[in-house]
Amino acid sequence: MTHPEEHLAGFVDASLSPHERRAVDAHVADCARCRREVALAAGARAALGSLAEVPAPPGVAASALREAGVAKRARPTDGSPAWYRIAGVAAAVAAGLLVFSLVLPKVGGSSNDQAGRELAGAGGVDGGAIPTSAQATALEIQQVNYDDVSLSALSASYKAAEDQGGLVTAEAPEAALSATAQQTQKALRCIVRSAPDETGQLTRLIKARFMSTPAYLAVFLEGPGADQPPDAVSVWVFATDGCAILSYSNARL
Amino acid sequence: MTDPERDEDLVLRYLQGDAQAFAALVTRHESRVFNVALRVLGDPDDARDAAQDTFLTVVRKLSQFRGDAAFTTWLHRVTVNACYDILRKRRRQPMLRLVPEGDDPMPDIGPAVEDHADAAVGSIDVARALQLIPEEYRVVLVLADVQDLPYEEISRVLDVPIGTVKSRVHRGRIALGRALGLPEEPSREPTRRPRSSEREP
Repeated sequence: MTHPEEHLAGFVDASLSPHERRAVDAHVADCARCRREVALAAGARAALGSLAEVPAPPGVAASALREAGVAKRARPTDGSPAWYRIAGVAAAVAAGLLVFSLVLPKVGGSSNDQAGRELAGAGGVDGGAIPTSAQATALEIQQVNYDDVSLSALSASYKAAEDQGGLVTAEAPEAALSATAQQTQKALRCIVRSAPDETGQLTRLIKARFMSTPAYLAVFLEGPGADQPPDAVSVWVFATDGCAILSYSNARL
Repeated sequence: MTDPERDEDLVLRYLQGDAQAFAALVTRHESRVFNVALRVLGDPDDARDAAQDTFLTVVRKLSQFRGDAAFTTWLHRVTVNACYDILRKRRRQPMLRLVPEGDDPMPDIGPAVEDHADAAVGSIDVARALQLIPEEYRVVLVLADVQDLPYEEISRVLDVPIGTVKSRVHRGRIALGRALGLPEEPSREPTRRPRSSEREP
């Protein structure tokens, strides 16, 4: 017996023409094998219909949007790729000049960036080409497993800090540990490799986990330029292994 | 009420310099892209990577999109190719797939939802069972029975003859039914779920 193999799929999802349907109906009535297959296939199709649509993670297209030129804003550092703006940090790390500290960088207007000034003074880093906030950025190690919700909370915490006068530091977990210079350099390389178009000021660099994957979280403050204070915060998440972008979150300040 | 702008018109606007048109395309399609990848790959992290790669490929190759196929057909093709890239990487680097001791050996593949009235199996079971069937079946089932694409469009997405698509859909459904442990003897007239694209309005 020849089985109407090519029409059984359409028989199950009712996409056959009336003529085809009658022919398959007649065959299935006499063919136990095709009846079994149709029963299994119909059950499988119904089961697939029960699959819930899962919302796309926030920022899943962030890198493409940036490449497309969406959300690009003019900033004082526009035209300077990420490697240029963080090269100073990397060089300072290499030279052992950067003070690794559990003190988190202050967020808010650069004129209030006490932590940045302290580090610049203590370490003797030439502030010339390096954004002040970047000077304060040492890799911070957290025993935290972030997800999209806590990532959004992290970016929103900068808004909360700004709302309270721009002087409040983002809350530091008590378990934060210091990192080696080598670890910091590795994290900085991830930013250069995976987010070369990021034009904000690197403000905070965290090593933690994201959805259980070891990850770097890089916080950038972004502003409209012309010495105006930052008006947005972007948080990029990179896999420590391979630097793939795992997530992205941003918030207006 | 005016019709929403066609994908192809958004593409044209983006190519003429309107970056927000690309943002509109992303907003419209990111859920579809992520869910195709999630069901093909079975792992949210891999699905996120595939979706990221998909949109990067789209933005880089949009100028090559000639408009002789629907944008969604092209987008599905790019998405499926991104999934195949990740599946190939898995085959090359099987060690990376080792599950750490103490972790749940099954991937987290989406929230549990109320069962379909006829399915009698949970969505997590279905998502896991999908990972047990051959890739070429899984891909067509995701396109046909999760995304409800017509066979003609699946044929264009995968660039295979439509007869091959129909055969893979049928074989894939049988493989999935067996992976789910569904009964092979029809106890009653099988419930046939019509394709949404072919239902009466």
